[in-house]
Amino acid sequence: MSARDLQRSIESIVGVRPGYKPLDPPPPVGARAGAVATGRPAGGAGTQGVLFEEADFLQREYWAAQTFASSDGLFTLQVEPIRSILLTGGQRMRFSEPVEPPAP
Amino acid sequence: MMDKGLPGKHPLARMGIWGHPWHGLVGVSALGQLTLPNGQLRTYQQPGWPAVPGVTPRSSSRGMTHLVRVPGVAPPVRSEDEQAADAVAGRQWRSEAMLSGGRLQLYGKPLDGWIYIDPEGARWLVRCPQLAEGAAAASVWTVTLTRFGALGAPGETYTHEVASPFPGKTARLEAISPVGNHVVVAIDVAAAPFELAAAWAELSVAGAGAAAAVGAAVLRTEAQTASYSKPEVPSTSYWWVAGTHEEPVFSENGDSGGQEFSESAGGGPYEARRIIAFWYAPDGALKEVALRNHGDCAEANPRGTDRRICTLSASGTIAIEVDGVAVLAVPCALEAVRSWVLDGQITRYPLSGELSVGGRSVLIERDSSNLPGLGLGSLIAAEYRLGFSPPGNGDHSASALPVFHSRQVLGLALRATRSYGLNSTTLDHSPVVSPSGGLTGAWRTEPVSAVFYGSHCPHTGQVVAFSPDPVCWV
Repeated sequence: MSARDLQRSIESIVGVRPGYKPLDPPPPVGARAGAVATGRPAGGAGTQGVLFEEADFLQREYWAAQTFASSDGLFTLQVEPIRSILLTGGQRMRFSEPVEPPAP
Repeated sequence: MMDKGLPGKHPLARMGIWGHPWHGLVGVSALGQLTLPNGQLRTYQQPGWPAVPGVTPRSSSRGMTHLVRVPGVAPPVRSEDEQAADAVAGRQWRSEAMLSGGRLQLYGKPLDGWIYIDPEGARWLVRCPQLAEGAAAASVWTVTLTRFGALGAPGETYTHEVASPFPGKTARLEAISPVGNHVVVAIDVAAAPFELAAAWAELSVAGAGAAAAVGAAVLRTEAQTASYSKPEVPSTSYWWVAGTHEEPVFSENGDSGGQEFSESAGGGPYEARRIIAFWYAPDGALKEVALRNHGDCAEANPRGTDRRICTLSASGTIAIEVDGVAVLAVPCALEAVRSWVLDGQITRYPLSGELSVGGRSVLIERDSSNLPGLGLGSLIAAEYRLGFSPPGNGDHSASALPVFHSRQVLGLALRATRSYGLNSTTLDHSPVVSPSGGLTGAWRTEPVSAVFYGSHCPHTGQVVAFSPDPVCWV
């Protein structure tokens, strides 16, 4: 999942709860060379009240199992995609069901 | 091998392609080395055969391959960047697999069994020890189906016993259909180098693996496997063509009151055919491979009172046929002449003639003093041989012997010999026939003792033959 997708997911949660303002757009990436940060992240106004931190692993919800096959179809894996996680703030972070579009 | 992003590594990870991308020829550079498309070598188990004490391994098993195709699996889609990375790394992602060598190796691991894909798409490993290389003769085949390839799923095993359609005969797995629901079994295979089966059976698996129906049936009887145009002949390896086995009769008191020869003539079409292999096409169609020797012969023993010239001639072809179509054909011919003169006594003249197959020929010549009786000799023919037997011991033959570079790579080796006199120390080897169709390679002359290995890739259709060391596609 890209940073933009994550941003959209978070916005979708924020958008359904009255009283929350839209989040700031993500900062530009790649313009600066890597550097070692020493400070703590400042709590910006846009992220107020939404701390993206899982509260309890056992509270995770999953979508129905999907089958992933090896390229030759001989081996298969059963995978349950993540559906939601419980955040420390009490909200649920929800994820879409990862359904690949049918091949053209 | 798995591409990055397997679920579990990260909850938001995307599933990448995974499977076994290492394909190519093993053994061509060195034993146990797979040559990747980028030219690099990768250590890989050389496909082989079961190590059974006292069993002479068959060279033809080392290069055999069987396509495995799961219905409905689409070819992998790779982006341009991924294709470039695959090319650099020597990876080939395929939507089908293959089992390689006598132990049916998958991804470098011997399975000693094949994979059956049931109608619901579930995979089952099918094993039948009575069909393994070197297995003892059996009357009951034990077939086990074990759930295969479902990672993390509970194991399931079901055992079936089926009666061999050829009880008490040895059996060996020959060919596997792409979904594993049909397997051709060679019955009572002769010792190397010919490896000719006496008959053929088919093992079938149908239905969902947990409740599969397993059956065994005759695919080709002995009579269908080896058929001859002169079935009254007791031997199954040759016959005397009708008419030629009757010695002309010399009569001191014929109708004329003087000396004369009786008259006789014989010959006609001859044919010997033997099924030597079965292959499966990628679509599951079964292909029958046969060695066929057929032609016409004529014999004349004319009546005469003072001079007699007897002749025997034959011409035809020895061919490898796939589904009745000759893919490789070698002409063969025989001419033999012998004469006598009666002038109060019998004067015999030397036997002469020539026997040939392809570019190989042997002269027929015997001193008259060594020729007993008055017979000219006999035509003998087998599926790979045209021969001539003069009176007395010994014979001449021109042979096109089947050569199994692998179970799916077949050629002929030409040899002309006579039981007295010099035998050739070399053979003329033909190009090879394979499931890819047509011929691969060129004629070449090699020592009689040479052993060759070959392999056919059911995915690309590539064929390797005349390798001095074991090779196999994986």
